Amino acid sequence: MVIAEIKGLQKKYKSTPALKNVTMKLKKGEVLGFIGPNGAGKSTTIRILLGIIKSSGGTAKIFGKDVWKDSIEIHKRLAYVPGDVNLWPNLTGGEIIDVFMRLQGTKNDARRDELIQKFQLDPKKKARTYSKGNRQKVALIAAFASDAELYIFDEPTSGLDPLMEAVFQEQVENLKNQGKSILLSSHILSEVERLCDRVAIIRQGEVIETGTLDELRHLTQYQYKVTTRDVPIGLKQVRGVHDLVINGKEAVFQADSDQIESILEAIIPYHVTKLESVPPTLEALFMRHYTGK
Amino acid sequence: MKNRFNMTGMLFLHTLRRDWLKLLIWAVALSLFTGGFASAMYKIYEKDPAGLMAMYETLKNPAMIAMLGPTSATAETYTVGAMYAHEMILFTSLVFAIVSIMHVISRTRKEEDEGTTELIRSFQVGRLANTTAVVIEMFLLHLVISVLSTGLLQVQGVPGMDFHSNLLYSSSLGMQGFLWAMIALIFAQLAAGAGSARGMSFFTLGFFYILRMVTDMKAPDGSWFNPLGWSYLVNVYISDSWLPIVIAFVASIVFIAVSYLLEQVRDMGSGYLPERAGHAHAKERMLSLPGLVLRLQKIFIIGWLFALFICGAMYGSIFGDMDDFASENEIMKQMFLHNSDYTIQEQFMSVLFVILSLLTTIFIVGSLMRLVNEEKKGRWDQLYATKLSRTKFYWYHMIIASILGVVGQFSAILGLYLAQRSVMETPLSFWEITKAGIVWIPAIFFFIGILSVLIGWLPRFTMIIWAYLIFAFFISYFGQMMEIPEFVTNLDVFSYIPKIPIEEWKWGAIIFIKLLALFIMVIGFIGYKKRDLVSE
Repeated sequence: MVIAEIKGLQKKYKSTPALKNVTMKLKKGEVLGFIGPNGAGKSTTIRILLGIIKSSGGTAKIFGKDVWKDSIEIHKRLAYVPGDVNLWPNLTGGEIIDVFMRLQGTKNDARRDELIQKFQLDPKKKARTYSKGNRQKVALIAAFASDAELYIFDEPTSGLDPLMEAVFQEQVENLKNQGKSILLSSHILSEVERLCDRVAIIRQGEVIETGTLDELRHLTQYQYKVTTRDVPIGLKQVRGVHDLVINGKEAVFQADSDQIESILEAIIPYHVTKLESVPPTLEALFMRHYTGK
Repeated sequence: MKNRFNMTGMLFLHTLRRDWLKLLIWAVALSLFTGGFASAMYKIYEKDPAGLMAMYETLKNPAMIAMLGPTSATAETYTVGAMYAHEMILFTSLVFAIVSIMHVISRTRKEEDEGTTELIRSFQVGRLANTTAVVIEMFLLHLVISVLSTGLLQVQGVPGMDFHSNLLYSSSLGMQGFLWAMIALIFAQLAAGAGSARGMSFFTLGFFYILRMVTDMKAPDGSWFNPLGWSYLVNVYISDSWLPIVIAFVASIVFIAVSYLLEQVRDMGSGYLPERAGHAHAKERMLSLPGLVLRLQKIFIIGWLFALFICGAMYGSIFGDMDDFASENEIMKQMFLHNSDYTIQEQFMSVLFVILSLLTTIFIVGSLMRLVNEEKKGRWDQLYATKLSRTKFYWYHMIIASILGVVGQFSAILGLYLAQRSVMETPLSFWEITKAGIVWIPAIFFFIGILSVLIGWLPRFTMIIWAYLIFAFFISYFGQMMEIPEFVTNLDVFSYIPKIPIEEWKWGAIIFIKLLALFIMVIGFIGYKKRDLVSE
């Protein structure tokens, strides 16, 4: 079942396009990682999904409903944490959590108190005294304590310390195990790598790549490290080998994933004693898309 | 030691670059406010010593002393100058104090809360440099205001208001501005954040204002121990004493020293007074949109209702002396006694409700403005992601603003009623006053309508409403005295409201304006429903 379906989404401000073509899909029970650099259009996309701003073209549907026209129906079933959490300075964190939960439509005090403890938030302090991380905790606690089908997180951990980030990841996994769907926009690629089933990469207002991590990897290069008895000079001529560094009997290179067979055939004659292959990290994928390397 | 002030000069220039326009506007506005009305007042009383004496008697009644402070003048020394200073000096001091407190806190503690100070301090900037820059800025500002105001009074050349007294009068107000800036500076060190620093400063101001009410009436010497007392105790245009200014100046130096000491030893971002722990959980009544909106505006609403009540009471308290006053004052006679069907109080009331209604309008516009200001600050984002619809958001705000408009107006009506009942032999009935007050409510609603259109269609230009409000204020206040073309007056919605009781109640106009207000609220809604949320 498809929870969110976005096709050819566009957004223009005056004449400058903020989104050119955003197309992606979120299935039930899935965690979709939404990655891209600052200003690529992640938050704009999310704000359109929430009906806070109106798209200038394309379609976006959540639960099969139009995100602008039926926003209220959609909102009854989702929870959201913005990237910039702005809170009322004269209310306490605890009060704000209660307001958010009530307006979202959930009442679950036990869960709320458990999360307050897990995230180590002092709910009695006025929001004006909170640091960025603490403001994020307020929004996260309210969202995690809410009973929703879809959770949208917009760079939720940018102000959290590693301990708190671990709590966040644990809670996301918890939701995943309950079959909830999650859209997670993030900078922190290791987090996306760990939590997400599928990834959408956005650049300059355009989603340029979507798929599971394996699928994405398939399009790119693996790193190989081989130790041979003879110096593997012949590798220099093999198609699909890049960035080759030969250091005595050790060779390190990037291999196109569709050329693996011929590459392996080419090194066998040099008597391979050790072979390591490292799948590209998301970071490498990311860098490749952005810098063309 | 020197290092603590490192880069003060540069920070001062930087502050000036950020604030120059604001400071310029203040300097002009405040000096106009201080010295601008002298010749107008002189014209009223120049050939009318009896009127002046009636004023003297009026201003000696306890209610007036409570509000405006005492005068040391006797019947012989009560000149136009003495009256001018008496009417102006305490009230103007309050205005100066409020402006100073707001500015000082926003340039010191607020920056600290926002993290700007942290960045500044990471450079080779002394610990006390920013504070010192603000001290210099405030000193120069008030020096300029004093000079401008003296010049302004001098130019008007009112007989009996000579240079020395004009200088004293202006310096006294400039001194008050600086003094309260320094008091705010201390609270900026003591409090745990900008909000509470501001709150404590205003509380202190209010405390001393009320304290001097008591001492002025019961023990006048006690007012020497009151910073606000140092304004009117100069007895300007009567016996001209510089002593209170010297005291205030010395006190300011002491306050600077105290705030330096406090700032030097405290950690940045922390204060001396503990922040009271708040509630861990929200009260039930806060957990709905109207409940939340009212909670967020609680202080604002209570403050305004109180202020409107006081303003009503202020006007009401002079009803008792109006008969004597009007029979002795030629101009007042001309203004009010041309209609013998109504008492002077009734005629006065019909006019003063224009002013009270405009004040209520400021309150309502300020309240409704939150709808778009919260949006710009990104605080509605998370609420929009819930099942709350824009329809609810919009109309709840409209309904709250409308109700607050009615409540605000009643607060003024009640103040007026209670005060006049205590000073008049045959007081006006509550119903008579209510009628005169509620007739203006459609005009207040009309302002809600105009603002709602701006919120719906031009969210970035909602400030335009203030221009219209100033326009309405100008037309209503000065419209009768000046020759203003009719088509201009017609643009002011207040000009369509019948002045009860001297004019007849017009159901047609009242209902029409109400419907028109509702209609434009609907137009605003259409825009609000389909536009993007904006952020700063």
